[in-house]
Amino acid sequence: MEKESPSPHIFIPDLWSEAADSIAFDSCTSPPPITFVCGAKNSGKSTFSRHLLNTLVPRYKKVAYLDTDVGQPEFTTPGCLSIHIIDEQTPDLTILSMKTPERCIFFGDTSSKRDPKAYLSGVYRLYDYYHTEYYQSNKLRSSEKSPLPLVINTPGWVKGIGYEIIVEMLRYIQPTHVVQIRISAEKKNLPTGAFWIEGNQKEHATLINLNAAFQVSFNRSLLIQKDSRRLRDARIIAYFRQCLPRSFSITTNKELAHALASHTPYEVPLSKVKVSHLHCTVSRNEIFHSLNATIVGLAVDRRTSQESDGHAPWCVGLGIIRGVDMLKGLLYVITPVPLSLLDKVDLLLQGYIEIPTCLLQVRGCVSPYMATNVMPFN
Amino acid sequence: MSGVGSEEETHITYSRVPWFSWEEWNFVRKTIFSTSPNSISSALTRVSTWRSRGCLPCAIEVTAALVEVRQRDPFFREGMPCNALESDEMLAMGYCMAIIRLVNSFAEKSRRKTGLSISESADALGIPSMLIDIRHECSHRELPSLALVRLASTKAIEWLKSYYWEPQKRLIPNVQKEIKSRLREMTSHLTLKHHGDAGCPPVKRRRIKQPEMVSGRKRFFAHMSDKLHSSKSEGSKRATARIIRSLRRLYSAHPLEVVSALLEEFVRTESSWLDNIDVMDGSDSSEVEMVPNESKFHDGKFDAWKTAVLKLSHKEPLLLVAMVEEVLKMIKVREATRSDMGQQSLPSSEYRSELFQIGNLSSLVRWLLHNASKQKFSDPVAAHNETHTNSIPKSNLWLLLRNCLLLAPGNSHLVDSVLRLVQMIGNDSLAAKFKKLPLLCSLDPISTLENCTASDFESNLRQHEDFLRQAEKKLEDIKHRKKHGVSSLCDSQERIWSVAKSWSSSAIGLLPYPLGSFSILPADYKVNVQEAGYSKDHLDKDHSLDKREESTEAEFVEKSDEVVQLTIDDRMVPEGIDDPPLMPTEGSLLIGGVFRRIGKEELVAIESGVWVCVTD
Repeated sequence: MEKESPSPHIFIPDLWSEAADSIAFDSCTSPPPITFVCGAKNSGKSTFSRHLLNTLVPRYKKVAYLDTDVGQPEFTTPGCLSIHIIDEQTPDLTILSMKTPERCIFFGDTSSKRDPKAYLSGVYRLYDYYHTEYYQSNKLRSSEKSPLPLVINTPGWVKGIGYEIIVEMLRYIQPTHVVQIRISAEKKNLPTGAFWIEGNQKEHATLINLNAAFQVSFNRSLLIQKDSRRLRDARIIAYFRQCLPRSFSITTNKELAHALASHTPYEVPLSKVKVSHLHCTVSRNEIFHSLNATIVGLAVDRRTSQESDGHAPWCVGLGIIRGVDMLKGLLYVITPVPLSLLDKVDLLLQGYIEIPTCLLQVRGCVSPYMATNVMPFN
Repeated sequence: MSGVGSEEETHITYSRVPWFSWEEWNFVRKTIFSTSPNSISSALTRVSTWRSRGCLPCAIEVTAALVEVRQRDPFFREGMPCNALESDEMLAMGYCMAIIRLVNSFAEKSRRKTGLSISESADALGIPSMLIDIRHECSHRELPSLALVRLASTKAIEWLKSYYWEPQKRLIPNVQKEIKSRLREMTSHLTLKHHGDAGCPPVKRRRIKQPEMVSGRKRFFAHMSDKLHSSKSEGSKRATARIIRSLRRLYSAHPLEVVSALLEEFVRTESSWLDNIDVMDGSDSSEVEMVPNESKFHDGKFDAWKTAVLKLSHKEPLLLVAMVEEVLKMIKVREATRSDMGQQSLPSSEYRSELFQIGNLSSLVRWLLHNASKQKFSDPVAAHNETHTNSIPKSNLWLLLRNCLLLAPGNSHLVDSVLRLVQMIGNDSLAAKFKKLPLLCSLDPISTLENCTASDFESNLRQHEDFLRQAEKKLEDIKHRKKHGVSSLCDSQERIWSVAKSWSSSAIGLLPYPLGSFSILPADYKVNVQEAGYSKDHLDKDHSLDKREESTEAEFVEKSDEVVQLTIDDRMVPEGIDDPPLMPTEGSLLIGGVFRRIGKEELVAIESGVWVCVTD
């Protein structure tokens, strides 16, 4: 199963390249193409998206990239919805690269099923941001900039509620191009055609159907499940690696765990920040117990403009609450977010994004939340 | 102790759990099955906090679900106000859902693995068949009657207890025991080594007044000496390294426990020594306590203990500082007892032994600091990649200095230690100020003990107190000034995020130990409680003769592993209280982090387990 390894040999079929070329060059530059890439799990959506980005960058210089796959986002950590402005090609599609997003919303779970409404409102808010900042012509004309094309990567959950979410997204965004990548197991695919259109409305989007780059073997789903957990952990690890200077030679997770354990954290009084639990309720008295040794989204709650009312707040990055001091009421946080940006953070969002266990159980620094003698849970 | 060679070090399997410690888990286990609705609701609150962390074992989840429905069911709750009633259907649905979750998460999962039928796998797990029937009934037919599901809920809870809660309770590792056995292993090992070096047979040992120890140890020694003779020193080195490794692991997870176990061992060996030496030999006693145990103690137990401490501290540099901190606390307690006894009557033999022990502990402080200061400059092993752990943070030294100063007057070892600390802090102006400190040694109660009368003694004590008060006053002054300096800085640049001032390596979820204040979650409340007990009014009480009365109103009590603290903190709001009290926290105790109404019986129960810390 060579293809399951974290750096599979990327193979871009000719049809894929042609499709990307047609999106990049056949359409007019104003308005630029808004491409919605969808398909079942592991069909190669994000590979195609990145290929498309590489194709668009030479022509437009800058391309917007909206990542709605909270399970395995391309440039950020799991649990995040984000929009990026990409201005350079990434030649090697196999390398896991972390990019600081233009705007980010912390959804706090790896699947939209936890809260479809909050998920959609996050996606809409990011799309609206793109629309006003990089698409709406009046605003751009004044600054003599041309609108940017947009590539939207979507989650691979295309059945049941997942299907409904994709339909909602398509209706809201109204893309110019919809690329659907189909796998050989027909039942797992989205319906063909403009499936999101209601009644007898007309659809102007260009539909492109592509076949997955490789055949699906029948026992893959299990392997993918295991693998996706590892991929998620790898992304979180890569993200927190950024806390440490690049010059540090850290090659193994063990070394990183040690380095993070001795890394001087930021401290913040709990009284100065709000804490919000995204997917559950926690009593105020219990907040320290809830936060200690968990990952939180660092968000800016200050309502500076009208647009943020009622929306999910912008998130500047993630942090690990590495310790709490209940006497002093302090939280100790490790994060790669620079202090200048951190100063705006006044809201901590707790979701269900877990710290990879390899960072918690390195010898000599075992977290209290890693216990021995635990009865096997089934 | 499970044999000498243990492979377990390499094969420890860790699982992610939502609780901070097994004490926390145990708190929930005890309270969730209690009869008091308030206790139950505090357990449920904690479980929902665990849920927010993810990784909640489904046995706990299902238990909480069942208990929560029962909390709302008047059948299981006498005297519940009528307006809180849920309809029968709501209750029945609650029970059914919990039961479905139970069957699915246990029987269904094992069915998928083994291919057995649901009832077969339920049988294998011992799940009452009634639960299987109810799951089937309410999934495919009609909602079962409330009477039936109530009955089933009792069976389900019993099953959960027997399948999860009880077995898990038995599995909990006893950290204290493990630390102790490891330490003993280490010291015996090192004792052996000392004997081996000296070339004398290890069985020739000094008589020790601890019969229950002797037989076991003899066997152990005989066994070990056999081993030692047959194996080469290579093997013994490896064994020492292995023990140190396991101690380090324990230290990183339970620093306090390791430190207190080490000190316990010290006190134990010391007292066994006391039993063998005539303590009352006046001319000797002051000399003895100056040179701790080196010349007097020939069987090498102390040497072994010291070697063990040094070996461990070589890997964990902050251990010595942590130990000093703990020893100072012990001295404080002993000083309190001593002054108590001294004021009541003429110096008794207990008084002398108390003094003697204080002397011993103080010399231990000196010894520890001596090594800590050496270590600071020579630690090539750790220096490489763990830069932070290498040096002792200044804030710790300041804290030690403060604690040391409070106890230093009249105690030459502590005066020495103060000077050592000043030297370690490396502040010249401070060093100049402290030059005069040794003069205070003339007040040493130990040296004046021989020819003192009661009145002499009292005046001595008063002088002693004066010094303490003065020192305290000066310190308060300094603190005041410091505070002002800091606050004016803060005002200018109102920042809520800042880089932590001092830091050293520690596991995620813990704070470095020892920092001025500790990583605190309720299971560790003991630490703060002691700190709080020694707060500012500590010195003011010195004069009063009726210490006992004061100690009865000590601010805190401790009962087994639940630590109770009478604190009023407006951030905490009482929860799950049926009739709200006038003041939010009035008549409540903070138990396990949650305010709970406490009845008289409960108070009496707590009182019977009270552990009082005298704070003068």
